[in-house]
Amino acid sequence: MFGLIARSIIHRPVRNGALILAFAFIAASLFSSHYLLAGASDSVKSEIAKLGADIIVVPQDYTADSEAVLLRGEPSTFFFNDSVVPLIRNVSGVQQVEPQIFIATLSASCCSLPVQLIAIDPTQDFTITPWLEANQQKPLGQDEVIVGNKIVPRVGSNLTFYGHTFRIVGKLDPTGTGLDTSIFLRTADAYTMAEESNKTAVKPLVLPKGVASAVLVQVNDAAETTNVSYRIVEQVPGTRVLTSSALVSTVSDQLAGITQILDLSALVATLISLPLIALISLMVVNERRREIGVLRALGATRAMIFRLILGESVIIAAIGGILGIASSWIILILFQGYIAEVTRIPLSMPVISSLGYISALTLIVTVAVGGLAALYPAVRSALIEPYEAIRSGEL
Amino acid sequence: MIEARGLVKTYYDGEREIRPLNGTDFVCSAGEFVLIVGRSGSGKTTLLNVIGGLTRPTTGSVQVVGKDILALSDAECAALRSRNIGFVFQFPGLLSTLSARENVALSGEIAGTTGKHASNERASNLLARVGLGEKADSPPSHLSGGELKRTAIARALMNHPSLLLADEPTADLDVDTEREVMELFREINREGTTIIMVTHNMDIASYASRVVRMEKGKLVPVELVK
Repeated sequence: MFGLIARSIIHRPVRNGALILAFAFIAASLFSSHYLLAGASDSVKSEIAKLGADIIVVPQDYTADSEAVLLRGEPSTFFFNDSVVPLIRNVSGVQQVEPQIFIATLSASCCSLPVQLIAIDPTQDFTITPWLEANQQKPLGQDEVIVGNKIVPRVGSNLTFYGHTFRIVGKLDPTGTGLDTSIFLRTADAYTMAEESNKTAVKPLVLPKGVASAVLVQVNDAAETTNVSYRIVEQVPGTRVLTSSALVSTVSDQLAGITQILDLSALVATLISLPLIALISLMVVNERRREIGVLRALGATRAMIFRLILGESVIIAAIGGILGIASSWIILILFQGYIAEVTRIPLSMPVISSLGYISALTLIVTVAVGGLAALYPAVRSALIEPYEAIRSGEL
Repeated sequence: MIEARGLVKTYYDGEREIRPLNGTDFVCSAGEFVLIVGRSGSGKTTLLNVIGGLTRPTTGSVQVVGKDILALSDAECAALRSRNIGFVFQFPGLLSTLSARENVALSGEIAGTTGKHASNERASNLLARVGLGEKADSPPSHLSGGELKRTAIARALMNHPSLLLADEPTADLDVDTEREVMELFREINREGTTIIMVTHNMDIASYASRVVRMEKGKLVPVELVK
């Protein structure tokens, strides 16, 4: 029976090719929408994981700036008093804290645009130090920096910020997030740079003592991240917490416009295609009345005829679905950087499990549309009286 | 083999009632070669389709190979057609997407009694028997009218049917091809297959063991002059 279906599909290349394209469009729209959401979500989760933090505490008035730094690497300078650090450390469930200072550069020699400097204290750091250890490197020394993957100069070359020269000692792996355009340096060097900037920089860097831009928090194993987040906001005034789920939600909101357009395209394509495909299937059934009659005379049951017509549509839909998924996947990979730039969201290829889930879901929906469209024609063809079918139609 | 009693088939063309079968009785023993003749529209094809379970009479009863086909479900009737009855239509009825061998083997695949390999082997043997061994891989579009008919006959024999129903199988054939095809039918009949053939061509009457004429929805015997 499968051979008969396959031959029938091949035998009508133009019409079935058009149907395959229609299904491919539906699948591509659906797949792209969910791919972008999953890609952005996985990218954010990956960044938080790379930072080694369960929670990021930021100044209440600079929540949007903090998200911009973390998600898109948009340089920004903001602080709150580091007196919050011991308060956060004392919150029940907190295991470890790490204050970081965010400094936006002026124009940097490395890059066409200003970059984000992130000052860390190597004695408290759990972001860069584990990475250095994993790569068998010494702790970050005086005037040394680790750069994100998109920072152009190579390891071993120098960079100058606010008139202070640093040497690049390492380059992070790509993350598809703001980390890629960030540069990590020691807090002590950041203060030295600020002091020197009065003499050496066009515009001095104002960096008050005793400040932090963000406090990275690791939660102990027994505590719930959500509960600890609530306690921090309650017990430490002037703070706001960013968790991976909150950042994912922010990214999803940013993506909503695009994903809604894609979902709407899939819906419109389905609504337009469904009756068209049903009509085409019905035409096919009418054209093949005599063939159906002959098959019935040869002993095919109504159920066999039903499966034959439905199977043809389902296979066409599956081919279209696979083509749509494959082509949109290739396009999304090729234009990933461009899409991330235009949409201003972190974007990476979703993890394999997400990708498998999205592909399977898209394929199931596409095949279901194909099955639904052919349901009535299949029932009708199964109910054709063999004698009537043989008398009419062409083979 | 076949016992049909009081068959009535009524349908409507607009408001006009058409009754191709009007109390038809038909009995056929195993091994017979019965020719049903009559004018176009006399109801002979309708009778053949009723016997084959392709359509149901309005009233009457039909026993085929010991089964009341009107009491059978769709699946049971399909199984009866598949395993006991072979059909040869006026048109070849071959699927254009399949080769001659695949068309013949299709009957076996539908019946599900043999595997694909065994079906193909039997199909090849049948095509060789009807003189088309070398054209087994040809699509129907590459076969002549006579070759198409012979392929259709091979297909009808695929599942070793005890009954072969043929509707105008020699229509549109030239005299030589008609004779070849009829010789093939005679050979099949001599091997034990019951054949009921509908035609309006009395020239082939000599091949049959019995001839009946359909007149006004009823069958009347025709005396053959040998």
